[in-house]
Amino acid sequence: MKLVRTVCPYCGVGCGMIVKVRDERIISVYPERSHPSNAGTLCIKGWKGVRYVGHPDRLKKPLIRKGGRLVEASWGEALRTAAQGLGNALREWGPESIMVVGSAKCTNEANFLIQKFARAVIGTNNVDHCARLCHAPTVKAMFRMLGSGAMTNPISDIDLAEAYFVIGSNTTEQHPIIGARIIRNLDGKELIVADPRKIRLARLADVHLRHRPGSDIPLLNSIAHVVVEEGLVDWEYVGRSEGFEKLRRELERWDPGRTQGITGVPPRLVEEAAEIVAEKRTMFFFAMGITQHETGTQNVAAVVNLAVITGNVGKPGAGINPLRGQNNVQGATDLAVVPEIYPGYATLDDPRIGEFEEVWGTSLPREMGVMLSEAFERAKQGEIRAMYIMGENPAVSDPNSNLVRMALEDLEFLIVQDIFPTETSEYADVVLPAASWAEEDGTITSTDRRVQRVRAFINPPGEAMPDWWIITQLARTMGADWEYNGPWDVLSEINRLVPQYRGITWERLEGGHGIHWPCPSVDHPGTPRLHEGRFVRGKALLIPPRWKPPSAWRDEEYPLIMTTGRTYFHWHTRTMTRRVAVLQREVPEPYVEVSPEDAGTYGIRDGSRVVLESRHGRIEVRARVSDIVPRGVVFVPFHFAEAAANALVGEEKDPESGIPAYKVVAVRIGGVAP
Amino acid sequence: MIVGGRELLDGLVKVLMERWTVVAPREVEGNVVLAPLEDAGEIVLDRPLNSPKEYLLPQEEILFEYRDGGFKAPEPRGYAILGIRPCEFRALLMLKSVMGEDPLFLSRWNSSFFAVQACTEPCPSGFCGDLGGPEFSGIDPYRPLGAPDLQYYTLDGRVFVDALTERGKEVLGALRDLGEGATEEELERLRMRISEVWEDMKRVRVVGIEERARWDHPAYSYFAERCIQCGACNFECPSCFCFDIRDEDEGAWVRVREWDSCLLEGFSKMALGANPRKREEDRMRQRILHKFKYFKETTGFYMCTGCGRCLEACPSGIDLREVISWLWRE
Repeated sequence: MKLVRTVCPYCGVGCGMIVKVRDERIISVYPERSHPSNAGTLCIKGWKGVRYVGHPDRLKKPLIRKGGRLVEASWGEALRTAAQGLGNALREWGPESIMVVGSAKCTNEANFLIQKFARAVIGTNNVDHCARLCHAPTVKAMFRMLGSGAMTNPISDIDLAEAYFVIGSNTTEQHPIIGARIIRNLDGKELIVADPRKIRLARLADVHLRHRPGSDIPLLNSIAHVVVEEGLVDWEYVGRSEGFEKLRRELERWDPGRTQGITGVPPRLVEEAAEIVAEKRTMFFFAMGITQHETGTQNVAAVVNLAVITGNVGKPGAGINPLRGQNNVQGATDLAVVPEIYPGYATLDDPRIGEFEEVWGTSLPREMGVMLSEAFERAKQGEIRAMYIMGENPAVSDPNSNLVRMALEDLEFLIVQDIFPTETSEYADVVLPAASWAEEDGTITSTDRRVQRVRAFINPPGEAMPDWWIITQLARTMGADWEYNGPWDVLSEINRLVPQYRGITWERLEGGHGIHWPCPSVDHPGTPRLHEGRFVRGKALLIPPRWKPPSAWRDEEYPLIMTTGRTYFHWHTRTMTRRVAVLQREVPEPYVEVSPEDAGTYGIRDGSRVVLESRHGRIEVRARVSDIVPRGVVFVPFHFAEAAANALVGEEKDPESGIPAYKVVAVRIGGVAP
Repeated sequence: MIVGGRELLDGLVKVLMERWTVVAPREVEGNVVLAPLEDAGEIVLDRPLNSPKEYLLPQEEILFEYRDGGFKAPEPRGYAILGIRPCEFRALLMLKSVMGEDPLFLSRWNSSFFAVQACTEPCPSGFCGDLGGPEFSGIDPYRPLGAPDLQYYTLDGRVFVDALTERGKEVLGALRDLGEGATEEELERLRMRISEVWEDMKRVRVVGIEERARWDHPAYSYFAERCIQCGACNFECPSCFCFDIRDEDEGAWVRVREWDSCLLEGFSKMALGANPRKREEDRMRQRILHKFKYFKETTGFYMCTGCGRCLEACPSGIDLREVISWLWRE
């Protein structure tokens, strides 16, 4: 029997948990009392969801494709086959023909190595991960405007705020412990929720701004308009920023009376919201409802503007808090598993790349690489010939799934490294069995920039190996001279090369509850709150957000708007949660939420099977008639491969960040079975 | 009763370790967890973060497996469980009144030894005042259902150990050398402290609530709205017994039992999707009325002993004491 302190593998909240293990089996899970983020609580996924690690479906042996079938192979053979496949692509079509995909579910160490593999071994910046599909716009806009793209406050600041402004985040379902911590604080505090759906927090809100999908900028601008017009601006903060005059002129045209036509929100509610955020110490929270739009980057800018001109940044209980989805999406972004930066947010023209070249002993690419959201289109066109995918399942998670599957089929060579067989691994030439969260030591970075230790407490099944080991061996098989004896060696390379992580050493993370980056030296305590006293950028930059109506808006042919998202009981493409009995029991099958009004129009009853069609695909799902969605809007969770919401999502993207427009898709009801 | 220093407590653990795996509060990197001890000195006096329920009804357990054409059932052994509080022991008695015929539960119960730590300090979240109070006395209302083997108190750096069963007396006998008899003055101080704590713990009136708890009370929807369905109140509750079973292919077929939660929709969902408790408020009502009305009416006991673990574990801060106060108000 042993008791191990670690961090939950699901969302970005990073809840501390203690796991009791006996005979390689998880016996009990306990929420950690002393952890500042979850303070003795867990959501159902924390309590129940971690038992997927012992599931018999786990990949236990490397597989290689022989005669069209995946057959078991030794590690030596699998690594040689993988190295050969990538080597061939490299010789025939050059480094730009290879795409490497990292994973926000894997450790900082694995992610650091996978981007190093792309850049130093393959020689390409074609490396990305699912942050492209979630917070790429956030990083882009916040980095430009404030000098840092991450949450400004620690989670525990929720207790210090006087008001909350939640937009585009179904917090109690996607970041349950943060959502619940807001609920816990509601007595005597104000809650504003902006969401087309009547989510749990909206039902508890003092002000629910039920705007139309895709009208976030008009809504946020109209609130900012009232702040300016009614003289509620925080002049001290305006003095600490630049661009206010330009913003003020832009805001003039967004009076709430006019924007009501676009947003559907009555001016009275806009005024109430404006007064609250101007007068109270307010924490802003946002997530995919802001970012997954064609104007994603501009949407984030509109949130930042409002927070800055009301003085709600860099204070205890006030700040801008993009909620990062995966347990380590923050870390994977910090460590540059993205094509546009090097680890630690070094842009492609940053002289710091020279330092990477020196340490890694090779010259490095400085051209922008291919983004995940364009990789499959490029593969379809024959520009990308080979892929190495670690811990992601793009066949279900990425937009236009039909095209993704065709592209995967067309690849000359595909390596998939994962813990379970997935819809994506069906297309692989080599499948590498990886250790899970329970079997791999390392660090992860939670949504509030808290870098924490996760611990191996059971042995990987069969011959599965830790990600850092697999990537290292593959690099070595391809001729690189990598020498790592464990994840601690990788972290010390991160300490050396990434200024934000400089003082966050393996030894320091052993006890306690992690360290918030930036942490410039080993004697620095870390930085729980950003922009205190001074913006990281110096002065904050206010940007008048440019709005355009969504291109996939409803029309006569496709009269409904589909918006996609997650549910509390499942995680992403369900590779983990469908193997946990109670989670699968709660939501066993895909569904579409339809408003009672639309249900009446189309003759849909609760439980009817309906066909949902867009210009890109069609799915069949069971209807849930519910007033959570307003008339004219339907909601489909994207978890289910058998009715992949993403088969309906088109190619519309935010031009600035490449994020797909998952939240606004024109659809129609193509048929109803009773 | 005998009185001694800290070595009396360590001595008790040592004696029990000869015959049992001893489960007691111990420190795990800044947290106190009720878990098996490796060394007698590891026991601490703080209240652990987990309830003792899992040592009789585990979070997840294999009921039996089917292998090579035959069934095989485990034969679990109980533990010596120390440092649980009177409220938790009473809750285990509730648990036993329901699970007492389950062979695995029974086998654990019959081979367990219980040493209760009486509360000489009030706890922040409990409300045992109306439900038995801070010690398991000889006239405890739950006495007819059973008693812990030992009860110990700590006061001013002294440990007082008392035996409540024959088996307890046996163990206490082995500890004679480590302590002495309590003086009348010491006992008086202890009685005073216990009654002070008891007074403090009378935080919400419970007795009689079954008469007042209405079927259509607005409290259910108010609190259901705030519930994120994590299940923690059920999981942490030492008297909540509801479980789910399923069959799994782990090479051999195994039947697994795991803790379930009545606040989840799937808990009461039937074949073809019919659900008598489809709305969140229906499930919240079930939880409350089961504990404070139905169970009381059928057994004479509330299925709540005021330990306060549910409100400590609730992410949304739903406070059962507040729920009960609402029910008293019309």
